[in-house]
Amino acid sequence: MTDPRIELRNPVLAAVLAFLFPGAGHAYQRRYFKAAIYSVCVLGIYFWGCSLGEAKAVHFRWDERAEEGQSRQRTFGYLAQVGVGLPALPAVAQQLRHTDQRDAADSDQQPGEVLEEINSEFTGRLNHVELGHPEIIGQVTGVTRVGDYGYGTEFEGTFIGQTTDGNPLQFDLLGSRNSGSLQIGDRITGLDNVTMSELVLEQQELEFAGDRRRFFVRVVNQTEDLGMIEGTISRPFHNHYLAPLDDESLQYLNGKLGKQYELALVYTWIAGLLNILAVWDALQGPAYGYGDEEPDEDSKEQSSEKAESVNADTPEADTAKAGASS
Amino acid sequence: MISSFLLLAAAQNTTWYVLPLAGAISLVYSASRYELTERILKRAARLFLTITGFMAGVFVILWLLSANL
Repeated sequence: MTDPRIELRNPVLAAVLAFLFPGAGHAYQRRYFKAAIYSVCVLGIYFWGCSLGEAKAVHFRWDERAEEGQSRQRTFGYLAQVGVGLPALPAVAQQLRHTDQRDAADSDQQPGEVLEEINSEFTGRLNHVELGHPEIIGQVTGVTRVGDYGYGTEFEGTFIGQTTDGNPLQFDLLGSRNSGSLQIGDRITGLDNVTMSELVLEQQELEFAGDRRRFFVRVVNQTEDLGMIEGTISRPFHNHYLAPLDDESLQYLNGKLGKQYELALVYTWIAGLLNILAVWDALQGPAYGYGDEEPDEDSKEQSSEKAESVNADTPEADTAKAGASS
Repeated sequence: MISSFLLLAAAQNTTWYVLPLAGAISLVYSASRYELTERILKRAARLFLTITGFMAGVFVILWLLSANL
């Protein structure tokens, strides 16, 4: 039974608050010292872990089936991380959004991200028959689906920008996802491989980023093929924060961070598990008591019995026993 | 011996990451057992020393076992 000196107020509400934000349940119960311990320790460990893992240690993926050529991903560790509450919960929503996106991409009509019109700043390079391969920056606008043909769904758009030397550029864009003349990274993912084809030829290291989305498309003049623009467009925060990672991204992270990534996982797991203790404390009060109790009668008796049995084994006790019997 | 401790003390050694973790675990676990501030802190300190002492013991055993390797 909870010590009457501890005011749990509404324990269920306190437990929910303690789960959602470590320390909040105890602050609601006016147990401010404990609130400080729980929030500082749990959130401190959790966010330190996130920092060690470059904000990619917490993600949730629960594949019912494996993608072609890939293993089925199930992040059991998230079941521990989610104990931290609100800071980790968005990963569930991101998993649902990611699944919807993949289901859409697998369907015949290819809806999902390809239906949205893309208007974004672009950075990358030009691969052009006349202008060569300069670095370029600019704006891609109105990239949208224009029709379905035998060879796939076709998209049009415009690029307006300049080379890094300041030469203005303007191109029409035309591409088809199925033919490879348009490649757009996943709309929702934690990390995107933004390797450019030119860089692959030069055998440079792969480049990954969460806030950048791969964008390669053919550059045309009327229908004449002039080359490609290859680079990235921006990916909004809500489309990469705590979003699932694919196998390739996980391999990249493990290779880049090594032990540090494993430490990040351990820190975030332990933070979530520790908060379970805090939730239970908010619901039921401390497990052993207030902390100033005297030992109860049973334990007193047990300890005195132990003391007697120890004394009984001493030579003095044997002498006394012998005297009493004579 | 000295080289082993130097290795342990190296800034990049991940062993040091156990200290804040052990501190947080000790505080949260003790706070979930008792309500009295003084009791929580004393118990947390004792638990922290137990954890770090145990790990130091394991380190010494492993170091002794690997001394002639």
